[in-house]
Amino acid sequence: MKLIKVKKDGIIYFENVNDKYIYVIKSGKVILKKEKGMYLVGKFLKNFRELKAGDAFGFEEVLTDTKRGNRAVALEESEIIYFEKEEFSNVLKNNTKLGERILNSISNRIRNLNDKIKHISNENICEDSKKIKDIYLYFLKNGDFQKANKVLERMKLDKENLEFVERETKSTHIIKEGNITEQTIKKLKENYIKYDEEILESILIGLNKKIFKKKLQENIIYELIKLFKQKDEKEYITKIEKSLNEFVESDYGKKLRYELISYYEKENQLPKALKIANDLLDQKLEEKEIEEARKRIAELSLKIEEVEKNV
Amino acid sequence: MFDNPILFKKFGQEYDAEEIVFCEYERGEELYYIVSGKVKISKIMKNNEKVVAYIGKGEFVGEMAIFENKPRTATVITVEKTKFLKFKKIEFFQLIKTAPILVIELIKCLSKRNRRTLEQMNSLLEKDLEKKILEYIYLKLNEKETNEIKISEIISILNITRDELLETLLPYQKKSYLRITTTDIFINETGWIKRKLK
Repeated sequence: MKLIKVKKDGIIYFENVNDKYIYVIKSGKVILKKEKGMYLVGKFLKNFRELKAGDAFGFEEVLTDTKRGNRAVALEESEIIYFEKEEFSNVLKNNTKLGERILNSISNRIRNLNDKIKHISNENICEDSKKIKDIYLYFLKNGDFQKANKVLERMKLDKENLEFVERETKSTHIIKEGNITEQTIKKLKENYIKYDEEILESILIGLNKKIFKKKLQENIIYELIKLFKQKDEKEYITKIEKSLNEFVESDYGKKLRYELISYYEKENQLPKALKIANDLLDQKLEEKEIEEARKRIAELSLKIEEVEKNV
Repeated sequence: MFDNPILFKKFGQEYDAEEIVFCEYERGEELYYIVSGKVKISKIMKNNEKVVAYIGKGEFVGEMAIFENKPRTATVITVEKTKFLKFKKIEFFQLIKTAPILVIELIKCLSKRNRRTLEQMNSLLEKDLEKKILEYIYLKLNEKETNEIKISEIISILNITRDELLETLLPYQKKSYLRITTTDIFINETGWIKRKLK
């Protein structure tokens, strides 16, 4: 550890050089100047930062093995202590206040910078509870129910979320049991459909990633599609049309075909409706279902005839 | 020093792989020092997870918590079995007297963080995309004697898209000033950046 006296305007180190010393000001004032880029000093952007007695500088580069990022100049006649990295721990041992002071100073700077960045980039600061819910939804969507549950447990610590956590723990415990059946999905739907479709949707997306039984998967996809019915009818229809061929082991394909028929009938696209009704007959159907399909075809054909007559 | 069994007995904690250490937005007043293992720091949104960094042995996580009582700013999940030293603020400052090397490690960690944040702010203030990218590369090259820069790092710090970055740098690759791979950019020479920035 050594001491130097620097006259006013004396340069302690230059930018972009390798210098192995850490400095602490014993008396006087030092200024750190940047050629490029800015510092945030208080609330202002400046290309320099002023330091006073008791402050340390130069440690950032020395500890991270980088070149000097600024130039250090004495603002007035100053006494400066300097030492190498290896001596740092001894210096701190004898002067615990210095350690605290350095830590507080950097963390303050980081905090102010973060605030400034948020300000510049106009980042919205949303409600905390809503955001932690996003993490919960993310894990649900990934089918990572264990982590989702861990998030719930953590939310429990924050008393504001208690109601939400309790409700969720109750509603999702059926997934944890592991043996997921159509009954589970029905139950989930009952639990959620009224109060939070977003969570239901996330769970279904997650289950779809985890379940490999074809029939159950069809059930999940069906419920996922159904969620769009109220929200966005056009999207709902597009989704049905895209996924129709995926339903091979269950009756959900038939149900969705009927949905399509009703939609096109309502939209006065009768030939399209009729085509889908005819396709129904190609599916595996029971006698009763065949009868029903035929009835629908007859109705549609009649309607088309009537329209043609009027033209 | 940090493998010290007495220290570990008092402050040590062991996590399995894929465990949540803490979540973003959650309040917490502990900082963690990684004794062994690996964690990922990520920003999790409704539909995606953006991994900010993977960090391991000898680094801190949650370090801002000891200076301010503010919610966590990212989610930390273990990637493999990980051993931590977990400190509360008071505990940490008590250790300064007996283990100053711990403070030095933390100062180092915060210094890195401070520099990254400062770079981020400066790049946000710069409007010219090309200038912004070249200045960052120049800074990185000066900082360390390496010619390799991670693409993910540039785009997250400069807050730009991968396409923006590649589009800007492709003309320079044609001139063989640099080489772009899927994850990194290798700078072959630096004279051109200096000329460009002038």
